[in-house]
Amino acid sequence: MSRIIRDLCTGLVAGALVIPPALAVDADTDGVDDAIDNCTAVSNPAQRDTDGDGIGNRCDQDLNDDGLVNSLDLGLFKRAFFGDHDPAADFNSDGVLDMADVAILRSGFLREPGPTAVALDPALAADPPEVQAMDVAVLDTLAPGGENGALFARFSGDAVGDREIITLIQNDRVVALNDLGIAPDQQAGDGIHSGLVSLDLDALSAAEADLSNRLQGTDAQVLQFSNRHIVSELPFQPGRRPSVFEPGQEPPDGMSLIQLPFLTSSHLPVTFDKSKTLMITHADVVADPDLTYDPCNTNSTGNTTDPDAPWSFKTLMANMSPNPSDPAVVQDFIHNWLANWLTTQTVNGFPVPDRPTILGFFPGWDGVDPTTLDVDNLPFRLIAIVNRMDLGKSSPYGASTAGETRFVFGLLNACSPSPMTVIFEYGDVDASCAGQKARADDWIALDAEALGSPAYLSALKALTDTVTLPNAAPGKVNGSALNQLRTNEVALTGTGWDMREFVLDGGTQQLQYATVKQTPDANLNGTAVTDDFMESHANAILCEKHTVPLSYLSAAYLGGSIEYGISSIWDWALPSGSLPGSLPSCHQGNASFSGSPPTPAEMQSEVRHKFSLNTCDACHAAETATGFTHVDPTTPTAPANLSGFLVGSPPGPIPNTTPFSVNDPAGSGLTREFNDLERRGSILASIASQSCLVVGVGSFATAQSALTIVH
Amino acid sequence: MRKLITRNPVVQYAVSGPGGQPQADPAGNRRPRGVPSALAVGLTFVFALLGPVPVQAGSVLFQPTPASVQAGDLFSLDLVGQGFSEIVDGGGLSFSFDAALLQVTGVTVDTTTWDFLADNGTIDNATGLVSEIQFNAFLTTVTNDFPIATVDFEALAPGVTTLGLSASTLNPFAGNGEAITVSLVDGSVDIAATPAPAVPLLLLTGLASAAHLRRRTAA
Repeated sequence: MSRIIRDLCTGLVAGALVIPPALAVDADTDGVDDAIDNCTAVSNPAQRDTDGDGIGNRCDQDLNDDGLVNSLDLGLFKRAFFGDHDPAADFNSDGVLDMADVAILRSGFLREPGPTAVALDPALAADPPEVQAMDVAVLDTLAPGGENGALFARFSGDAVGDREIITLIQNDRVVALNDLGIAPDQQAGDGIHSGLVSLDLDALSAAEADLSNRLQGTDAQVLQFSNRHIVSELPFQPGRRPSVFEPGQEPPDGMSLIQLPFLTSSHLPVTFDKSKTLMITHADVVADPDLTYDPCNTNSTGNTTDPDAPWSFKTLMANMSPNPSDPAVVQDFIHNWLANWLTTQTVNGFPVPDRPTILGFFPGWDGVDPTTLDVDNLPFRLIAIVNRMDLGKSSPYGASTAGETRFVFGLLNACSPSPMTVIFEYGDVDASCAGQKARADDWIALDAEALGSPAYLSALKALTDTVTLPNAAPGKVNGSALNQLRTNEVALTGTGWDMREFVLDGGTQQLQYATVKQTPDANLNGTAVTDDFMESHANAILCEKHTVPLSYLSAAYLGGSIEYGISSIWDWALPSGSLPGSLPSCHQGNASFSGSPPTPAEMQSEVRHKFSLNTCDACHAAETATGFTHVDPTTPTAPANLSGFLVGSPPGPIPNTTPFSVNDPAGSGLTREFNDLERRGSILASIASQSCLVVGVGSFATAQSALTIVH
Repeated sequence: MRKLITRNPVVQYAVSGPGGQPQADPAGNRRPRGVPSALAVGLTFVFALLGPVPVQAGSVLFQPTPASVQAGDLFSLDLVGQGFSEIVDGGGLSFSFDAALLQVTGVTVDTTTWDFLADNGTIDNATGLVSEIQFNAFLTTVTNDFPIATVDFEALAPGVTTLGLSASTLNPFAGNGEAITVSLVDGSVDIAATPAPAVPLLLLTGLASAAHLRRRTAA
């Protein structure tokens, strides 16, 4: 270690960040290099950032984090000033809220917070780098900003390039790692990015113990996935992240390396009952007489008494309406939703045909007068509660999104199950790493209780209440956590299965049609337009990171609804140009390729399949050998049958661990294997096992990869 | 609506209080209104700190409206808030008008009420827009009915123009950290043509002139 580096580190642990004069650019002369300064324009030596958003308190009067300082922030400041003394409002970090802070608030009023050098980078969020090697050290003495640790990491990936600063969320705070030689970084340009962090050592230990416990006795083979495809089966072997320090190389003085929790690049084994934690279809739950309502008592559980039960169709609808406590508003809301089927509408320029047969399923309803709709006897029964935490994305580089919690209802026709599902897809409300980890823990904890027991039902209701209750998501339309509501049916015409999507419209506050996601209009299947899209987006499609746009080649593209049959796939004629010469690094794939790289025909087949698999119609038909619904609404008096895509082989109500093989419906001869509940379970285990304290610890970053779209 | 003070050619108007009753000011000056008693302020603030309370949407409007003036008049209207059940920390407003009929000669935010920020906005008489009037209070507790600003106009030509209010997207109406639903009530100004002198007045003037000339001739 060079002397200057020793001086650096000595200065650091002595309580002052020492910057070599040759390196420092410090416009605000606060002793913090501009490159890592969380408030570059105003001196803030302590770098205090109470809300952890990467903008130091001195530059951050945006107390509600909406990007602008205004009346909303003034109200929060007054609350802090006169009431709760929120330390985030202590802009000058002097420990008191006084008129000096008022003056700072005024100086920043009607402006954006900042500037800061410690902002999350959208490019890294979009294309997260891999952490090749990493160390964490505990400082002997706290740094000026209160940090107690240092993080050293070596990154790789296309997005990293020659970046000197990498910003990431560590323990719910934005921190900057630099390769500029700014303490605690030891050597500029050596490929090791370093930064000060706040470590919760107890939590780190707990994460280690948690993962160890979770993995005890799991020496079996574990399915490995690439997105939804099974790509291999490996013995689970937890390991440790490699060190950035070469053998014999020491960490800086004044700090001590600590052992990081387990890291695994493989998927975790699923050690809990998927029927309790991921796909809940048992009548003791979905037909519970206190929580659900079924006007026909289909499962003979006696759930015919309370149409306002917490999980009844009416209640879920009411809770997302503009005024859940006003019966007339609720009645109008449900009527307006159903009335969508009574007229042909246009979505993204494409007609969504009427299906007026819907009137016949609701005795007495005339389709015009909302009061003729008997909302206390809506012909829907709950058939599944579904945990979709796998749809979340917890990235240390930002843009985290939470997963979903879903309710699947089946339509009843004169008390007989009818081929129509209505799926309420709620967004989980806490996208933070800690929030997702806690929710995953709660889901897995259901495994300890007996299905249908009071303890089980109580715990499950507590989980679902966070998304179903009125005002569960105050920032969304009607305060509802609903992301979208989807339907899949043939009941309303009897001639063709049809999938539709609804969202709460901010203007009308009603459920209105939206485009079906990742699925072009059906008339564009097999056309030159879709051929062009597949060819020009082949690499993204292979990685399943493509997005089907609203319009393509100057014409509307994304469909307004999709009608389909059992053989539905999305076709691709022979490409007119060139296919990728080799598979992109993000693709992990199909073991049945004849060689590496795949032949052009295999490459084309893989692109076609992955595009097709991500459409609504083909995913529910030929690409997964599914008979229209993954959760079957027509199973009378018993738990719903589930598709092989979901539960593995054989399809049925019971999840298993066997892959479900599907031959390429386009005839390429390739075979793909699925067991999506196993994949979702592995990701759930990974989310629960992450530490949130250090980037990439646990398998979360690799396991929860790149399902960038809603499925 | 009635004239309160006339300092020709400026016309000022009484401002309605709660319930629409005119509030005459004996001193002839505007004074802050809608500031409740100290006890009420204290209780309201305590309740606001404790958590959300049922909110009744308040209104922001010009007073008086419709205003009736004559072409050439200089006159003022008050921009006020009425019926707010919650504490108002402030917000921002813009308003449009027919630039062929009116021009705005000044905007004055009430600094007694809005002690944290009082920005009179930007006047554009070419397009007929006053944009981003901003007002925020820190130490003053603002609720119920309150003044926002006084707007000075000059009536240019006969006609009727709407004073179209719009809320600021930069600085929404808010209180206690939450957005407040506000009903923006457009104002209206009815500008009459300057009347021709009345016939009797013309006759008297003519007679007086004739008498004056006769006296001068006799002298």
